[in-house]
Amino acid sequence: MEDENLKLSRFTVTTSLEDGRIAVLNTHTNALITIPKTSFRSIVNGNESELVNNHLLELGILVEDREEELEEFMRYFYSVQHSGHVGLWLYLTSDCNLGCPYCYQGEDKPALKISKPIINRLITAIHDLQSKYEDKSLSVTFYGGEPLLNKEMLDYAMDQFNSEFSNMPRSYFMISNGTKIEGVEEVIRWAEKGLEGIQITLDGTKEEHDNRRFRLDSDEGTFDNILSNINLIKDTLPINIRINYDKGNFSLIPQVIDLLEKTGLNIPNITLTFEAIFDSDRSDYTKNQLIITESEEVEYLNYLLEYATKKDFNVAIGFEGPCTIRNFSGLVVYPNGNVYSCPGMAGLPDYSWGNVLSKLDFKKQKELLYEGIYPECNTCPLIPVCAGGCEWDELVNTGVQGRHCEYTKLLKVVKLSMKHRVNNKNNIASFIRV
Amino acid sequence: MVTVKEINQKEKELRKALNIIGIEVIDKSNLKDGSTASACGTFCSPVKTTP
Repeated sequence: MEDENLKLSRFTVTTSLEDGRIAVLNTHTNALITIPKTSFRSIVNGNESELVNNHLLELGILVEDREEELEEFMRYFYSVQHSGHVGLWLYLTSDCNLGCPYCYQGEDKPALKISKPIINRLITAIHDLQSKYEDKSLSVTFYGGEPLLNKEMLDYAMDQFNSEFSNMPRSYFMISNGTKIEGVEEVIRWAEKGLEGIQITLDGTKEEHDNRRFRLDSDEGTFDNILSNINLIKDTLPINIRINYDKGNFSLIPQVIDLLEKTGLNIPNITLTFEAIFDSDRSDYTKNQLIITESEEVEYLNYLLEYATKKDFNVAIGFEGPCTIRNFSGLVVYPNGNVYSCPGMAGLPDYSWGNVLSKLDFKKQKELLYEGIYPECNTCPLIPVCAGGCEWDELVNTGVQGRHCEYTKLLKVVKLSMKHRVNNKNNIASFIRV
Repeated sequence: MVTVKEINQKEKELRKALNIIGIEVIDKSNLKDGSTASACGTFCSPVKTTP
């Protein structure tokens, strides 16, 4: 039965597929369908049966009122910004044993380590943040520097969180360079405490990786050590192998994927992600002219995703934002207890809004976090995957924190992810969205 | 009360109706109320696969 009142959602992205069909994504609900081109117009006009229309309404592909849809999204976004779901980035140490030239934290890292008193006071701060909400959860990313230079506090933090927040869902993830894993036993212990995954980076063939990710104390490369550790823990914990690319190593990455395949790492527990190396306020990597352009980034990403999926690897596409910078229950805690709202801004004095040992300054937090959706974004179908973009990227590029629109690139990446989701249904990770 | 048989019948009818037009549902809506994005693509990509 025709229903002229139905409209295509304002959060719709479409892309043509090689077989002549169209993929239709709702960026808010994440529902993805494919449909013959000839049927698309009929669907948009609500010309299909009530059964089909109702299903498309359920998926969010069709809506009854686009203005009401926006208002509902705004309410939803508000509920995401203000909730008892705490997203915590815990900087176990700012120290690192490697000297990667592109590191966004720069070369001169302070050797601060987080301590028990800071973790204990942080727990009180999280309880305070959650106190006015009924639904509560805790999601922690342990990072640094190199977080495994402070294993004692990794164990202590998970023990304390498990005890103090036992009545709510918890998830733990870690970003590590993978060089400080000393036996599978400790990884089994962390997994038993709730660690759900670890991100470890490999940046090219052994020669290229070792030129980029070497030990600070000896200049010794780390490729063999890291690959050995990945093999050691691959059956214990899901591993996200991150491969950073630029003009210098892009052509060598297929060789790495081949090597990982030969090593037998195309298994369910391993996911590959490919990230273009970016400039930061503390590195001067642009000087060596290796950073790629926006169009190259998408082209390279497409090639690498196809190459990896052909070898039966799981792949994931990560999008910039929204993250803790849009979340009033988001905390980034530096080893000295200073609190921020963005991992990129951690350590920059102007962007701290207090210290867990003394006082959290919620007035300053409100100055740093934009509430709601930027008015310029109101008509954009990508708001749910972007929410205004990476505010730290804007800070790096213009010197001022704020909305960072990369619509053209993001749209290309979203379309790329749609194609890969259609073609590789079971081995591509969903992207982060509001 | 709706029986399992009725639910299965409705799903069968829906699949048939979608097939006629050629719609393939790759992923259903998985919106979660109040869920929080705690990570971002720049630093940390998700490792969970599509549900």
